[in-house]
Amino acid sequence: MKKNALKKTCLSIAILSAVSSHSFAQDEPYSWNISGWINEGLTYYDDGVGSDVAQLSDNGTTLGSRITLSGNYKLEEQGMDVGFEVIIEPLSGAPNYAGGGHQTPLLFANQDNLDTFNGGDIGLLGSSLYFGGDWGKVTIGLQSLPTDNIAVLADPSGTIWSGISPLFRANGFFIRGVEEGLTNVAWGQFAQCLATPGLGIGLDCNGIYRNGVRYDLPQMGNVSIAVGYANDEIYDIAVKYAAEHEGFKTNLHAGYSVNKDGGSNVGGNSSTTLQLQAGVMHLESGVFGVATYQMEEADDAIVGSGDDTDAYYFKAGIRKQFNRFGDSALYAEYASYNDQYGMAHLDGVTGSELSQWGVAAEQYFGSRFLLYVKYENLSLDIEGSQAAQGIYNSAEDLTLIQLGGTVFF
Amino acid sequence: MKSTSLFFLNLTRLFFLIIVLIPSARSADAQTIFQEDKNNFIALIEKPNETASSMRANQHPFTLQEQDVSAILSAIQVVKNKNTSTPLFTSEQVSLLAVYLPKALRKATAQQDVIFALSKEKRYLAGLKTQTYYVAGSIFVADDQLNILIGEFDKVANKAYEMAYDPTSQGLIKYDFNFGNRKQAKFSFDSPLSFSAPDIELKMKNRFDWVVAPTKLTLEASVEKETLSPSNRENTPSQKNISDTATLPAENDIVARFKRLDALKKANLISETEYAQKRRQLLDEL
Repeated sequence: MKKNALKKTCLSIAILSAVSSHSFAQDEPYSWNISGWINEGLTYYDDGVGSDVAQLSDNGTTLGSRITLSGNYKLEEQGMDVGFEVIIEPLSGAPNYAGGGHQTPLLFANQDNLDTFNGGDIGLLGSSLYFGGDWGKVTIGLQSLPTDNIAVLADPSGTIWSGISPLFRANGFFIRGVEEGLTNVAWGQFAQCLATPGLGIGLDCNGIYRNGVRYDLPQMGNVSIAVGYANDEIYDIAVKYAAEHEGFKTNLHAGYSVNKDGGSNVGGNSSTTLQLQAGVMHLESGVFGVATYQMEEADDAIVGSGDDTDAYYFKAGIRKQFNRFGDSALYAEYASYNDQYGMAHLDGVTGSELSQWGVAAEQYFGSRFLLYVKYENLSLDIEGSQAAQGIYNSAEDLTLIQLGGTVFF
Repeated sequence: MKSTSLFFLNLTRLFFLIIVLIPSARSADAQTIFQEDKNNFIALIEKPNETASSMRANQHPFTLQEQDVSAILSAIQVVKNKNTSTPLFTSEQVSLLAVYLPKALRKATAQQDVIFALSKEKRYLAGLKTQTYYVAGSIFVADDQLNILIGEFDKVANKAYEMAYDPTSQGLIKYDFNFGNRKQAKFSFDSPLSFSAPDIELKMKNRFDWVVAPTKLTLEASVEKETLSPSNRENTPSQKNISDTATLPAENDIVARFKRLDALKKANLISETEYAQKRRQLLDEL
């Protein structure tokens, strides 16, 4: 009974707020917004030993479903804009994940727990306020810091919901075929980030929402610069360049971050991450290409660990309107995540390359809806002791086929 | 793993070099006449190399009156269904184009078209949801007519993509607009249009994306323009007979002027002081 009363009260408050904000918004330089996207997919996997079809939600923390509530207010007399943003994630859940189920599913989904992906939860991805003016913009709170997605979004084609540089899909899947007895080695084990311990996505390694402060400088022509500080002693700077010249759209992103917070997954006390991404698209033909590079280093890491890594990602294709529904896109991608084996040196690994390649087709329906189908393949190659080769050289490739959709609102 | 890395490193370096060289090897494309942000602008651009035997070269530079532009643009309606239509341009967009299009046409060469992309916002869910829509196209004077090519109408801004790419809303997203084509494109704007002023028509019967209007509308427009005041434009029935409302009450005139003044202020075309002064003048006229 009390629960129902509470629900009604909340509903009443929401309705009153909505109605009052409407009249308020007409007269004041204030605006609210609810926006976001829902991303769902049907995935077939073949891990070399078994195969299955499962419905999987989301696409990693960058592009997983989200609902953003935002608002801003123009303080005209003070010449300032102030506002807020709260981002919530509808998590379909990974309830048997050790972390308790409040995780983005694809990062932690594996062959064993697909059946239990039912129910779900709501998580908080970000919550921040900002104030800004001619001098720039300061954002405080749980937020996307400057180098988050810096090596992801310089993709002028915008075909990011089906294919981006980090190893989002399947990094939680177990590698099959490795020596019997050594189970539960996930693909993400060979795409370990140094900047963010435990994050096995290979690229965009400072790419999580953090509590911190971000300062965006005023735009300088086609260049924008942002600097950030996050808990605790994580600094970053990002530079973005975007321009159009004679029918070519060009994006260049660069980011550098220093994590002095320790806790590197290879036992180091700090790490640095350099990320570069460039994209170009010929607007008339729709032909585009993207190249990405990341280099990470950890200081004072355990001897022999994967403390010096790099990764590459390339994508090329075409996005153009071929039918009256909207744009169609077709592209191929290739990624190479090198020496990101982290603590697998304990097995005798001294070098590794996780390769991923894929092809995808997308169909847009205006700006509201997108359908895509994607084929991708992951393979592993390692260097190391005979023992290490004995364990990992028999690793089977992982094949994924995904039919997914995204609704934007 | 290092040999593979070296190969990709060199490949990446080469790619970045090419990317960096492309911008430096090419000159700037558009000559900006008005720009509020990356997706709200009026500019001059070299016209495409389309050879249409029926079209002569642009008659630029050209002098066009502000009120003519206002009258023509206000009179174009997009027909939604049998009973409803919506203006192609909002009153704010008409105000902007009325100010800047004559400037652009005076500045344009025979090889240039005026292109525009302008936004409007609509609120839903009792104001909780704001959606931005764009209209884009190109305008030029040729064959003694003002030619309007409609490339986009009500193109929806993808706020979700904006959030992903530009998390702190710095206005970094630039949409790829279609500015229309002289040569009929396969997927061009194809909603039926109606016109609430005389002599405005489709260039070709089978194309809804190409509107032409006489450039010498001054005398007619001075009468007609008030008919097309924003307050009258909303939900204007299609094929409205202009003669029915040829003479407009002074009240509508003053309302239109107030709205126009508001639009100019919203577009930051006039200062707070100028706005207040002009508003006072209008109030005095009541």
